[in-house]
Order: sequence, then structure tokens, then C-alpha cells
Amino acid sequence: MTLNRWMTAGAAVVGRAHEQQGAGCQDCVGYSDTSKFSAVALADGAGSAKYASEGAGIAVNVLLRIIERSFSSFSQQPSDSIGKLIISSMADGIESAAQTAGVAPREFASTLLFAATGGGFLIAGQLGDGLIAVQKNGRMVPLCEPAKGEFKNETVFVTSPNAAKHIFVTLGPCDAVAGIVLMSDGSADSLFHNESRTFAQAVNNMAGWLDRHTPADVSKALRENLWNVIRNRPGITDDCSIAVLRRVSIEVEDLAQRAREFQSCYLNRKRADGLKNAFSVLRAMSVPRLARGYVKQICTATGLSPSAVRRHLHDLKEICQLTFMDSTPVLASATQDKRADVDSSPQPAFER
Amino acid sequence: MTDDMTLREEELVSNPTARVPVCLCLDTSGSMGGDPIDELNVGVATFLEGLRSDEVAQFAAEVAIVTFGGFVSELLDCASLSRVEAPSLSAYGETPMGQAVEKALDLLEARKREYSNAGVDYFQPWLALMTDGQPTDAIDRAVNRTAALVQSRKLSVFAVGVGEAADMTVLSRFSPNRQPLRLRGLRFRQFFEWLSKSVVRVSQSTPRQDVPLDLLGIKDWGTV
Repeated sequence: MTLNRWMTAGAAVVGRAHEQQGAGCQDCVGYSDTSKFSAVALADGAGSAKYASEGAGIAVNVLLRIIERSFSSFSQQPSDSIGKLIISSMADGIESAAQTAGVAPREFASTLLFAATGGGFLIAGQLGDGLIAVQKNGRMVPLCEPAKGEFKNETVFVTSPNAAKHIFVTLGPCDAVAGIVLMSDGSADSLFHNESRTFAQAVNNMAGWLDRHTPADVSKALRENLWNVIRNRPGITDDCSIAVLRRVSIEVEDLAQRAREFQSCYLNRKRADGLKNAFSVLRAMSVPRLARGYVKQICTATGLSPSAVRRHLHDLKEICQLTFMDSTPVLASATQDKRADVDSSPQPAFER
Repeated sequence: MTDDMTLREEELVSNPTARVPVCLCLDTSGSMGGDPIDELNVGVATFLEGLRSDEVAQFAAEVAIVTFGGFVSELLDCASLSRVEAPSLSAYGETPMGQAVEKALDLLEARKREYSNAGVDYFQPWLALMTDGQPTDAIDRAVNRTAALVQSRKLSVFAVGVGEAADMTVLSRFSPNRQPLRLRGLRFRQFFEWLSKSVVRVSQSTPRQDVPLDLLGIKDWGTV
């Protein structure tokens, strides 16, 4: 039985130009993994904005909150109304920060790139420069042509008057997509060849790291590579950031051979007994199933209570995109294995 | 495939450095003869050297030189610095400034088209205009073209007058957004040092960063 789990990682490092000026990193990446969705966001603060760094943080934070609140309804909405929702939410978030700081909202200007997936559905979007790579049929292709001006130092920001017109949002089934990589223009200088319009092999390779390593290890590696390799290349002086959303497909028995930390992240279970029970359920599911009495069959095979089995089934179905369906509701009164061995949704992680 | 999660150089791509096209439009009319033209030659050489010695600007800056002394001459055509040698300018004739500025704008426009065709990013072009007198040809068309570009933020102009005879009113028509400055004595070298440092700062600017001019540095070579 093949499991499909979307995983996320990301990192942002200060560029040499900002470092020499004593300024901080104005790129920000954030990612969020819950049982309902996996999301990544990246913002590049405007060099001309006084609070570029804070603005990028707000853009990422607001975007992840929108996903958290509205992701399940997005599949029913046209892309332009989602674009408008994103821009108006950004305006609200930035307005209050700008008022507190006593400056105009444009002092918090940043670009915005994002992607989120869950339940077989994918949404991605971009405003301003930077690039989004979409992995289809083993190849990385640009999601869209970024809106940029004639000159290197011109682009559109979340605070621009025409932002709602320029934001690109696309949504649909995620079947054909194996991964998405967001990159700021500082990173794109080393990862996208402008003339041939092709991505560097590194983009494919970095996305693949999530197939074999935990998100925390991949985020750490991304940071080290941005810091040690990419930002030190000749002519690269801008802040560099990258965020990866990757479909990690794996057989149950292959997963069982992986390191405990990887299994724990993949199945979203921190405790040893929760992980063990999840594996028991997955293995029981791998044998030919009965048309009726499926839960009972798994209970017999695993020794778990019906409520525990139902919870695992429900949760694993969402996390690992399994296609089985058990419509029997989880009974609140079945309390034998009541303790939640499924971790609650982790807080979004931020990198600057 | 690298399972140690370390990127190798061969997994990355290289793009051309974003360019800063700069055109020096210089008065080499007869009145520049003697010390002024000698100092101007030193200044232009200083400018090129200042750009060459910077890690980013040596690849980013591309310099064109148009002179106007008797006739308009195109000495450098937005060449990459590695292929450029400092010219030896001599003073001669009248001051066809209008024609020279139009030539400078043509060169910058043509270079931008080349960048676009080759997928090379570029910054706003710069035009440095220096004169010690007043034009001896019609300048209205050149003024209109320049002002339109400046006002649409498609060109940055630095207009500098040399000596008391420089017509600052004419220069201000070419530079509607930035007051032209008068060179202190013959401090060409100091001006070109300042100009090269300013180009360096633009070439290293992160996208969307408005690079403020080094106003303190201007005092070293210019007065209002």
C-alpha cells in the first residue's frame, strides 16, 4: 500500500549586501503541516520599505492564517475571489502594523509566494518577483511569469494599489504534481536560467531531500546551502530564501525501515505507542479487506479498540491520502483507547 | 543525486549580472583645452578603474562615452569594462550638446533592447552630462526626450557644469528632478570617483531598493 504525504521545509538567509549594511534578512518563509493541509509561504520585503523584514513576516503569517481558516472552502471558489481575499487580508494585517509604527502601509511592502495542498486539492499563487517551480512528470516548470517591471529594482507588492489585479492564483487537483518549490529572486539567480527558462537540477534535488530526511533536517540543510553555497556565489548579494512542498510517496513496509524521526514526522505521531499503533493499523489495512466489518477486522488484527481504529483510519486517510472510506462516525462513548495519540496541529514554523 | 544534502556548483545555474548602463556625455569643445581636458581624462580613467575594482560593478556596469567637441563622437558603446580602455580626449570646436545627448539616449535605448533580447536584467540607465559652456545646436528635442525619460523614472541624469561659463539653466532642463551641480575647480577626478561609487552602490542594491545618493560625498567635488 502506497502512502502519499505532503511535507514541507524552508529557509531564508541574509544576503551579503544587507549584511554589509548591518541590515537583517528581509526574506521570510513559513510552513505549516496539519492533518488537513500542508502549506508553504515566502515573502521578500521591499528594499525601499522601512519595515521590509516585518512586512515579509506579516505577509507569510497572514497567508498561513488564511489557509488555516479557509482552505477547505477554496475548492468551491473562483481564483480571483481568493486573490482578492488574500490581498484584503494582507491590507488589514499591514494596516494595523503600520498604524502602530506610525508609517504608511508601503513601508511594510513585500512580495508573496505560496502553495498549499490537502484532500487532493492544490492552490498556489504569486505576487511580485521570485519564482515558483512546479514538479510535473519529473520536470520542474515555472508556475507563472512573475509580474515585474522593466528594471531589476521594480516589482509589485502586497501593498501596491493594483495588487489584487496582479496576484496570480491557481487551483485544482494535485494528482499530477509531485512538488512545489518557492524561491525569492535572490535564490532564483542560482536556481533558474533566465534565457532558457529552465530550473537548475538543484531544485529537483532539494525537493527530493524530503523523500529521505525529516523536514527539520531538510530545513537545516536548505539553510546551510543557502548560507555556504548560494549566497557566496559571485554577484549574488541579495537575501536568499526557499520553501519546499513535496509529495512523499512511500510503501508502508519501506516506511517501517526508516529512522524513527522520519516515521514520526511522516505519520504525525510523536509518541512511540501512537506510532506503533499507526503502523499496526496500516499493516492491517494492507491485507485484503472485507466489504463489511472493516473496522472489526482491523481491531482483530491490531488488538486496538474500535474507536482507536476509527481515529487512526480517519487521521491516516487525511495525512497519507489513502483512498479507503469508512463512514461510521467515531463514537465518543467508545473510550477504551481515548487518549489522543495523534499530535495536535503544530504551530507554523518561520525562518528568516 | 546528493544524499548528504550539499549542493554542488554543477547543480546550479549562472545568470548574467544585472546591468547598470552608464553613458558619459562629455563636452570636449575648444574651451575645454588645457588643464580641463587633462583633468577630464584623469577623471574618466579614475571612473573606469573605480568600477573595475568592485566585485559586482566590474560585471554590472557597462559604460558608453559620447563626446561633443566640433562633432559628436561615440568613443565607447556600452562596452563591458573588461574590454574598455580609458580614452584620450582632446578639445576641439563647438558644442553640439543636443545632438550628443540624443546619441547618448539612442545608445542606452539600444543597449536595453539587447539586454531584453538576451534575458539579462538591468537597472535604470544613468546619463552623466558635463559641459563648460552652452550648446551651439538645437537642444529642444534632446531636452524633451531626456525629461520624459526622467519623469517616467526610466533614466537617472547627473548634470555637471564646469567653470563659470557653464550654462546651468540649460543643464537644469536636462535634469528636471535633480538640480545640476557646478564642479569645484577642476575636481574631475573627485566627481568621477563619486560617480563610480554611486554606480557600485546601485549594482549591489537589492531589488526594489532606492539607493540614496552620497550627498556628503558631493561636497567634495560640487556646489549648487
